[in-house]
Amino acid sequence: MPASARVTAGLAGAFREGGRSFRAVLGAAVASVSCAAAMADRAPIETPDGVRFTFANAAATSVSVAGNFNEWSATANPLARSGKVWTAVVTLPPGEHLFMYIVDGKWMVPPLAEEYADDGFGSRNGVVIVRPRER
Amino acid sequence: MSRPAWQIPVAVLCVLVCLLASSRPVMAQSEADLLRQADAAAAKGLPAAPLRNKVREGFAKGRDPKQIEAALNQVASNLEAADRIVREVEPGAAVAAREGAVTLLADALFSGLTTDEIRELQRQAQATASQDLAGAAKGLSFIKDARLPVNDGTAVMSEAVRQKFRAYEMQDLGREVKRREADYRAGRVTLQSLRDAIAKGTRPETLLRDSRAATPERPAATRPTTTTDRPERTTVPTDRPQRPVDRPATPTDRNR
Repeated sequence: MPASARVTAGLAGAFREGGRSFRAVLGAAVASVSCAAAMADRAPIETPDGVRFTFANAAATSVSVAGNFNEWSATANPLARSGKVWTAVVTLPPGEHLFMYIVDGKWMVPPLAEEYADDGFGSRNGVVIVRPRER
Repeated sequence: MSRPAWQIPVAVLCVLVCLLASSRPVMAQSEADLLRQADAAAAKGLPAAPLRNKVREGFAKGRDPKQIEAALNQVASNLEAADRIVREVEPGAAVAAREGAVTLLADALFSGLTTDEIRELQRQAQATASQDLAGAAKGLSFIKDARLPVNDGTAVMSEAVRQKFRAYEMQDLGREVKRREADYRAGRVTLQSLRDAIAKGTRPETLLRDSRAATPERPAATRPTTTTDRPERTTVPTDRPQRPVDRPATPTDRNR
């Protein structure tokens, strides 16, 4: 085989390999994005029953939400596990409410919230806003 | 007669012990102590909930009592300043309305607004209900936090008060301005045009809807923009939850 043909064949092989690698990387990326989307944290949202808090953590064994609506109790509002996502619906009056999650005993800043506010202790609270129904 | 040689190091040791004892910090206050302090502040006519909540929050998060006391004092100070303003604006306000306005106004102060800026806002807005002034002040605190001109923000919020926007509508307006901070900075929209729209009678729902439609790609929810917690202490009390370890980073969130 002439040298030029060997080079061409080599390049073609490299492209094939590269293509496979690219497809593999692309496939993995798509899979991880889909997985992340499925597991995504969500900011608390208002539902007819109250505010739904959602926290995605497959490895956690306990998650609860604490805030100025429950005197920052780490036990008053536990989240229930549903697959890889933890949720709880809490009835809150109109206004701004501060909150944090407690994951396996550790206080965590919410990954997503409508706003964040300095807690005065060097950390951040999530803010959930409940608007009046009349709106 | 000379002293025995051993007496000198012992005397030095005693002096050192005395010095150390005198510089030892005062014993940390308990939660009950700080709750009593919160109640004492509330007894002056301030809303009790934000005071007691700050104490509860601090202890729940395992913070140092001195840090909690400092945070409590700051809350009390903001509430006192807010209370003075509310009493000037609406001397005859019912207790519940007054407490709501004081809490919201104190929140605006904690977010970085000054009492002078609130008084200027009131001078321009001529609010007759303290709740309206508090809502406008909170909305203005978002505009200030977005580092946009406070004077222009004051004009926007004053117009909103005159057009009888509700307190929560003025807060949402301030939030929306902050959300579109980049557009305002780039001059794609201006606070002057927003004020003009309000003056022409455009209602808040229309303003917010149009604003959100202009930037549909922006998420309603945000991620924390500063770090969660930095490990200030190496030990954590075993009977309290541990502090968060990870702290996502940044600078622009408002304070509270």
